[in-house]
Amino acid sequence: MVQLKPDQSMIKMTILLLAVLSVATTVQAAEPAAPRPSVERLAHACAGCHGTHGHAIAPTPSIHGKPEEDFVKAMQDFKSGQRESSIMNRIARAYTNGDIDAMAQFFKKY
Amino acid sequence: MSGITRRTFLKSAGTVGALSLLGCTVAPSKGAKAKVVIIGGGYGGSTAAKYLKLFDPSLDVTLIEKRKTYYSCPGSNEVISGWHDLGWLVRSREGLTTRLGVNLVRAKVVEIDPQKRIVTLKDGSEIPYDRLVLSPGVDMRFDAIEGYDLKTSKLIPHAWKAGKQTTLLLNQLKAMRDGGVVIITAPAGPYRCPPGPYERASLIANYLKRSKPRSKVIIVDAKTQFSKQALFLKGWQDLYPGMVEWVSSEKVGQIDHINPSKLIVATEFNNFRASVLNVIPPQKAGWLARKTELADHSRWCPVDPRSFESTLIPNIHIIGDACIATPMPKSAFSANSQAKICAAAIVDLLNGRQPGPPSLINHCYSFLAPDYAISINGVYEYSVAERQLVATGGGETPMDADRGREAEFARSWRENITADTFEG
Repeated sequence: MVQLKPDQSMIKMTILLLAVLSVATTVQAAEPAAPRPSVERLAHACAGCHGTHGHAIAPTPSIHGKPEEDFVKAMQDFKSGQRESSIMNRIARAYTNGDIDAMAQFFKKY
Repeated sequence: MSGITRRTFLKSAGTVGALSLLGCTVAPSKGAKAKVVIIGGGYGGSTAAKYLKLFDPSLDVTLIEKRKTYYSCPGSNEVISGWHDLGWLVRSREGLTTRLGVNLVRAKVVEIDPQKRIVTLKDGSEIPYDRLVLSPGVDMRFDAIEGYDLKTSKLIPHAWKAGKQTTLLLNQLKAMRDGGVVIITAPAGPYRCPPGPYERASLIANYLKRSKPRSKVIIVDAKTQFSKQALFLKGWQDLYPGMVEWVSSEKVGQIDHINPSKLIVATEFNNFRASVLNVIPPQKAGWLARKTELADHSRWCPVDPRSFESTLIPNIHIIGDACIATPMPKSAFSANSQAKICAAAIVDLLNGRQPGPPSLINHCYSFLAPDYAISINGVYEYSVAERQLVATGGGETPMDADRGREAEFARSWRENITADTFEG
């Protein structure tokens, strides 16, 4: 067995450590983000207030058939607090931008 | 196998009066439509039936409910306050049959055989299932408070299930003299509708202010804090000064016993004498769930919140008040939201797919007066690390928000959730 000199050993360890760190980082970066709930699972929950497929009895707004950009803007404004609502500010912050885009497409269909 | 025959099915369904024979098949076999049976036609069960048919119209969906008339629990405090008649709480599920083809069976289920996957009705007929959904609601724990049992509840209402109990409390309030004291006892969690006792106190105060202004309401609470507390306390101060008193168990201790003949609530350190007494006892999962051994030591049913399938018995799903869906509260809205996740998961499972991650909402309004309401809500997702639901959004009505506007939304919510749950 070859006896390593201290400096060589140190270099080897450093290389090893760097390699481990690099692998760890790679693994972390490569790991996919947790999947988001399907758009059906996201959107049907809204019906408790906004009616089945977004068809609501007023004054709760109907959210079906809206142009996607209007839906997205409303939700993003609720999420950021730019638009005030005693209810929707609390709800909108739970959804990712991807969720909001998907729900906009979903409700446009009905 | 002892599958349902056309004759036994007709016999059991005949008691309903109306029956849709569409989708009535014999026992499930290869190539046959999958059979999903739902027991309990409240907010959870009715929503499950509707959304199963929306997600897959080819499914054979049977909803079994024992009650002839179903009264909605949400809204029952408004009936107690005299804003509406009891009939206003009636919900019909006819649209689920006429528009979606759900088989409605009015019958009492006496047994579930999870091995054979058969539900037995009181008349002996049997209904087989591929997947079973239980939405049995709650039972009162009549062994929990000394002096308060089933018999006593016929005189001293809990009014925590709408119907006769609602009328009993309403009539006692009407008969009470001006200057009387109404006592509500509130249980420790978990129980159906966490803000319910405080909404009830508010709406009884609303009635008393109109009709018996020298009277008051006292809540004797097993808890030391409660849902929407700051908002309720402010509301009582603004609307009913001096009329509503909340007594924490921190101050008077837990309830030791009830004296039903003298209408006395005895706590560890105090006695409260009532003119009208409303005891809201601790609760547990409905009878059928407990009998089938779907409940654990907590008396509630553990489920996987991605499918609401029991973690104790396969192919049986439990939704609504009876299941453990921490941190979701036990509410009609939660039941409606859970039913949709459950329905989507059942369609996935029947097609050999693993259900994906869930997304749920709860939103609960409480009225304090006709033009004054507050709310609490939550948005929930599944945490793989915690193996349960976690809240990713939600909160309470902001202190400076317009309570009149919330009241308008609360009325609108009632119409919308009724349509989303009971109408096809």
